[in-house]
Amino acid sequence: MIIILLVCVLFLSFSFLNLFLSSYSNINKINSFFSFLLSAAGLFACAAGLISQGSFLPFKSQFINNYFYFDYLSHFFLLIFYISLSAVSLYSAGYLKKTEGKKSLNFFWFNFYLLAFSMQAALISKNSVLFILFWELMAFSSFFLVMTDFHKKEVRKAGFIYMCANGAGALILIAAFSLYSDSYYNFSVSSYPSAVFFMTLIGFGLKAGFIPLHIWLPEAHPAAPGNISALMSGMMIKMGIYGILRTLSLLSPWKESWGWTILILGSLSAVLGIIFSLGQKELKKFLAYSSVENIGIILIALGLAILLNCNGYYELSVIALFASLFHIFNHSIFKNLLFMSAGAIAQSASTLIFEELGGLSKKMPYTAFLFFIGASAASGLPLFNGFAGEFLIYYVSFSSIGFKSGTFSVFAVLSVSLTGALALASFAKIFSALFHGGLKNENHSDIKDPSLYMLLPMGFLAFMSLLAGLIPYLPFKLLFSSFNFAFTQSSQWISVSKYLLMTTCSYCALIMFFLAFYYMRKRISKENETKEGITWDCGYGTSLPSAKYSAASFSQPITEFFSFDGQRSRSYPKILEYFPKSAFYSGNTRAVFYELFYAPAAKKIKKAASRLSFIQSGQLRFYILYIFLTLAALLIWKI
Amino acid sequence: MENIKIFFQILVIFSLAPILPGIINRVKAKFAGRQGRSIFQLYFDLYKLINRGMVYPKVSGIIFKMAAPSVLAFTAASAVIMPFGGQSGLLSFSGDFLLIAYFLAFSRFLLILSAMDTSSAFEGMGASREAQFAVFAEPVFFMSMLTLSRITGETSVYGIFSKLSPDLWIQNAPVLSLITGSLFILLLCESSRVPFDDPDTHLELTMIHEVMILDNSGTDLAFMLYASYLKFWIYASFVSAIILPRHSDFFFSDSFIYMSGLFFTSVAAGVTESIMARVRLLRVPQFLLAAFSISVMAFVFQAVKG
Amino acid sequence: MHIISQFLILAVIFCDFFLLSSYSTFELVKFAALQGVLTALLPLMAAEHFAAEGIAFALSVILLKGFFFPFVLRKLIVKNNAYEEKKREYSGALSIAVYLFVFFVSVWLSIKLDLEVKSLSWIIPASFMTIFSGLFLIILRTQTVSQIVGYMVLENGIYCFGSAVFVQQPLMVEAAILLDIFVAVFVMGMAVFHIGKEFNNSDSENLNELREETGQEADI
Repeated sequence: MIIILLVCVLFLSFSFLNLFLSSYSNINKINSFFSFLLSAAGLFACAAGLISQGSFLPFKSQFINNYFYFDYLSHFFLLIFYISLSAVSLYSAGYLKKTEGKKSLNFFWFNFYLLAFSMQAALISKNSVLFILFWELMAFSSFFLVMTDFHKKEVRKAGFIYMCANGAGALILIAAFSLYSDSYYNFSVSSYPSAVFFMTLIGFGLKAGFIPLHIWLPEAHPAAPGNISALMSGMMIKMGIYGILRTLSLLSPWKESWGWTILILGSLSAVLGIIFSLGQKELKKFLAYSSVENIGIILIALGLAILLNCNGYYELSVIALFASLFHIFNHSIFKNLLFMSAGAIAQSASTLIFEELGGLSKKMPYTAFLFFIGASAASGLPLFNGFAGEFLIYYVSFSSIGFKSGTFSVFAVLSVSLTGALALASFAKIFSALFHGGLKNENHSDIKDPSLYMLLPMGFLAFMSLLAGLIPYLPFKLLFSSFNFAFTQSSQWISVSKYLLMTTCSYCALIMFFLAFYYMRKRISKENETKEGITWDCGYGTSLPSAKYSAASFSQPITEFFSFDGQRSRSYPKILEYFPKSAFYSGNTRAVFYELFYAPAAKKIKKAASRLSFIQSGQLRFYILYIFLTLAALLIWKI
Repeated sequence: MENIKIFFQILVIFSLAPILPGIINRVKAKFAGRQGRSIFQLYFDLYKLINRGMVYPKVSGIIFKMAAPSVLAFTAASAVIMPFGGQSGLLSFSGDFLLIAYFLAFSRFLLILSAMDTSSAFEGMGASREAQFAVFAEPVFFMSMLTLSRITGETSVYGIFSKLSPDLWIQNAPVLSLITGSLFILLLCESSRVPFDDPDTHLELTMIHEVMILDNSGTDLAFMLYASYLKFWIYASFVSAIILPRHSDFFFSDSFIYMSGLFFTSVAAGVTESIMARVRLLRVPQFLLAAFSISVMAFVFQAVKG
Repeated sequence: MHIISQFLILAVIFCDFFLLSSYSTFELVKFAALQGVLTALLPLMAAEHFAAEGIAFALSVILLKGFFFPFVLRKLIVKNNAYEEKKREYSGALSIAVYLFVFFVSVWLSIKLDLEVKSLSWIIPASFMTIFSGLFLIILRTQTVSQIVGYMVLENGIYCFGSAVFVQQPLMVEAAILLDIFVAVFVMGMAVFHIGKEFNNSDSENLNELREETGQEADI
């Protein structure tokens, strides 16, 4: 506990230190190492606190206790935070190498440390004023980090949308906090639970990024540099979920309408998020929409937990809550990995558009391997950790299908299965577009794997993903047994642990089968020769890298089915001759919510507000008039 | 004694898997008025293929080389979870059908990746269609599993199969027949049979599964084909367990009933292949959505009743 | 008997599915006829004992709905060259969504109504489904032959509902419905014949020409 506080303070002080350092050439490495060491220290403290028994003792000092939380929820999210931060810090040492000589990174590191500090501090603060202070600090520092490349137009637009979302969220949160703080402005029980719940849902939702509040995500993530998008997607989005969970823990009893709202919002986010991601042309935007999808899955599990609680099945409700938390943990691991690989590709090939990349697996084998692990984990395939969270969700739904009010399980199962299949299609598309086939672009013949600073954290995350996937019982027990030790004796916990162990047995059987078949093939093929030839391609004979099915063609059947304005956003070539020389096709997936709702609404509000611009006349005498009118009104009110 | 039974089960599954598509081919031939291949022909084909050398495309990477044993490993791992006759499979626990579904999904993922790895436009076409069919087929499977779970009150495949009985049929005839229908359509889709895919032709318009293994050769091709036979066995055993639920506790008679159920399912699949033509590719989602609505109806029937 | 009647109800529901999703008028006529035959067999299967008048009545219904009406409609189709829908108002996937929506609404209605039914509990939702399918056929189709088929399907549904709910004097009610259908199809057939003679096809879009032009005064 004291280590965490110390780490916080150190982050804060280092941030200001950065402002005053002159730009060394080594500043990048020094900063990343410090950040890495601090976050590793925090990680150990947190993990030790989480695993050991009876660790959430109140602090000795009453002053600290009044203003800070040190319970299970904070510890859990701090753990995820430190994992992400340590990986990203080490990664930054390699990632920012290209910009090291070109421009000064002081401001970047100032904001980085500030962001880290504000996230930790927000996770442990009990006082609503302190919380909002740190929340806004987080917004402001991440805004500057997103705008690192501010000379590009789309980065500026992304920053603007991000700032609007942050500001709106903070305003709603301030309004919500005013309803449920006590006289010391600490969080406490409130007398308007539903109002508080829905307001915090919207306020924190603007940070978490579920539909329809997700519009800043697909803009901000591609615009930010690679390590920042990893940090944002791996941790900052979860701050929104932390807020919702913290609110839920203070408002009891829960109502069914809350559970249904969260379940439906989660299902919509999951399905729509992955459908939007299918049509994307750029890697980071794709990963941003995939984050929306995973937040949807987290919300589905949370909604299940609330609904089961309201119907009286407390044990299953706790397991559903664990499913949600487990998916948060897993998602931060594999999303960090995916964004880091995206950053590695961006650094080597300086583009992330699928049509321009291709065949990178020969040049960047390590990145390809790690990306494969990340992609399989993100599709929720077994052997990797994405599956374990979904397994728990399915388990809870199927156990509650027989209950009288069990219709919500149907929603959950259908949404999760649909998104699983769509995620499989989308990740297959990007993996094959990026890494398979021959090298598509001749400019890329000199790219190579990223440096060890970048590969090491990616490898560590991939290893954790594999470990958590192969033996899901291990993280399940380590993370959740300290939630409530009495619960670990209950029948649900024991059965769930048993089933998780059985999945590990099946994985063992699988690996044994694989080894058996592999060695069988090796022995048989020793007697026969194995040749290399060209791709048969139905006898075409010259396999070009550009003959490979591109990303857009791969996802065309699915996107065509789900699109509602196919004619308007696609232009097909008109081929009139027998041997056409060339043809041109273009397709576009628009950001539906932004273009159909938010942008027109913003335009209308701006137009209406500009009617009031006469108030700001620019003449001093009118401003003095306003001051006089306000004072007069106050005087009349007080009399 | 139990271990011997399980060993026997696994042996039977792995050795008899190629017979079922052989039965389908024979039924199709008889419908067409021909004598047809013998039902054991696929064994000879596999034997011939295994002993041949392999040719790898030059542009392919490690995924293509590792795909065939992995796909077979995943399919085999799901096959041993399936119950056999009245016995449970090698592993049986709550939620094991999730592992079956997702192991098969992983094998599909690897198949798609290996198809795209060859940088061939044909294989890419098959891969993209396979991904599209999976999107519509997964909810059908889960909806049918939900309904079965609700009827029988069990959450593992062995539990569900053991609770199915003729009494359950008498009480829930419409629900179970609707589930059989949707699972049969799912069987045809997942094992790439008409009306979703034509396993006999090798034209681009009808290949989905066949085209993805176009560049595999020799031992790899044998593995891939064998994996598709095992996949057919897995989905056929779902249908067989529902239409001919077990009667007694005696192992051999249960196994016999189960295998005759598999035989009838294969014959039904063969008859369907002979009667129907392949559905237009643009209409396949509609077909799968029809199967989905069948299982939704079955669920609502069950939910409203109890 | 009980199981056979349950399968008959399932078959009626499946006929609804094919009616909603097919575009060819021949198929529509075929499935409507099939549905009529199935609903005629329902009261036979559900009854405890076979009465002679029940069997005779069922046979006459089968003759009427299964042979006579399709014959008349087929002649109309061939004469008016109305083999399929000209405009596809909605895609195949949307027709499945409509079907599921109709299913849920009819199940919900039957739960709300909570009628006392003899032995088969699924006959009420099936009859509501058939009624709604007939309604949707009339509304969403432009070919007049499809609209006639929709009316027949609607009457099928009412017939089904009648055989479920009316315990006393079922034959009276059924006979009334049958007369209703017979007259209606007769009248509609004549109307379509005349429309076809006038416009050379029986697309109901042609009737748009009878609309008043906007901006023109009506002649009184």
